Amino acid sequence: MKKVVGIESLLAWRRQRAEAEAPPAPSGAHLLKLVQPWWEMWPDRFAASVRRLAAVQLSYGYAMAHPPHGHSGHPVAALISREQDGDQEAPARILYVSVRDGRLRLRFQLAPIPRSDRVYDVTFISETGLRPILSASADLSGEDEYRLDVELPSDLAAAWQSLKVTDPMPFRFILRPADSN
Amino acid sequence: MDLEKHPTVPRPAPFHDGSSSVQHTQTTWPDAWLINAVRREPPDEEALDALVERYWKPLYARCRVLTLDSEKARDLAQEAWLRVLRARTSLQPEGNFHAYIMTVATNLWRDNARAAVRAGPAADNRLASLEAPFINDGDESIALGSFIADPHTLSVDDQLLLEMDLDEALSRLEPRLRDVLVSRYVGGESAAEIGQRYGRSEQAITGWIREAIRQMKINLGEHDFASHEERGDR
Repeated sequence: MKKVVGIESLLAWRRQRAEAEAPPAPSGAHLLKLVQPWWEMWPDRFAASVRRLAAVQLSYGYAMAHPPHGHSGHPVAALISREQDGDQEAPARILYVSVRDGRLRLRFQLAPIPRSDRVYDVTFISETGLRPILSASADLSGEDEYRLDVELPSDLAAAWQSLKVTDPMPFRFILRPADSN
Repeated sequence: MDLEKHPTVPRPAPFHDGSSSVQHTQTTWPDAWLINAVRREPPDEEALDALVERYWKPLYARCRVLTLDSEKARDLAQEAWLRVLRARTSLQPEGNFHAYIMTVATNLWRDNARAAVRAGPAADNRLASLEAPFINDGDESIALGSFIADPHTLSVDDQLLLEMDLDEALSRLEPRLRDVLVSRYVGGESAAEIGQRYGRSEQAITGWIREAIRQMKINLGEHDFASHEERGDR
């Protein structure tokens, strides 16, 4: 007579088989290398980008020349850092910002540039100390809008909790095309 | 399960007995010590090795059952570790690390599934909508009934066939139902715990699990597992 089992035993059996076929675990060194931020891997390049970013002055004239659509706030100094072409200034305008449940949801628009990319790795540089404080991926959404959604460290989540789109942003951007990493 | 935030368990002093290697010592450390060592700057690579090794197989297995693809499972498991490492300074050594990393992997998989839905038909791993309503025929009598041959009684070849059929049946479940089924019966989470993740009541999750089982029965039934034992063509 055939012995039969239920879904629980069946899935437990499947899990055991999956465990048995697991590839070797990656080494800790390999994982740590993968999470090493670019500013630690190329400190000189990062320092040069930050120097240039710090020198960017966003003028009232820029804001007037690039009227926002809908409710949006101050421009944010941004630099596009490309492997071959070097750094290019491309001020961003925040269209939406929300910090809820420890996540930052942000939409921004870049000033018109000759060449834009579908995905940028966005490094948030603190406005005050010019230090890297956050890294996230932003996807092109629609014509010229980028969106990002990222979990925040608890200190930033607390500090940015009440941030509104009309507030001056406490950060600047270094944008790196995702395929250049 | 809140593993992040409060570091309280100190990392023990390095163990020197003149014979045991550090690596060997760290494999015997409890999670809290390993996590504390990984939280440091720079992180202790050997402690990380031990922690990864300890959870790699169950993590991979969970990812394998969710993604139903060995390559994707490996990538998902590795990505879960990367997420954990990026947030390592806020890890809570006394938390339930096993539950934590499984949840990280599950959430990543759910995010990927949502992205695939947004990407539409062009996505290479398009999945049914996470929020799509399922048909609940009100059959409250569905339980964990016995409906399939015990895999351990099957031949090696038939076990392989059953594995493929089971993966196929799971692949037909929409991601939400696959997740709750796997979380409940592979991860051992309660309906209430799953409900917390989804922001739904325990009762709602129980209904989802029941629906997942109902669909699995239908999917598996189409394959006539009984015939595996009886087929002479292997």
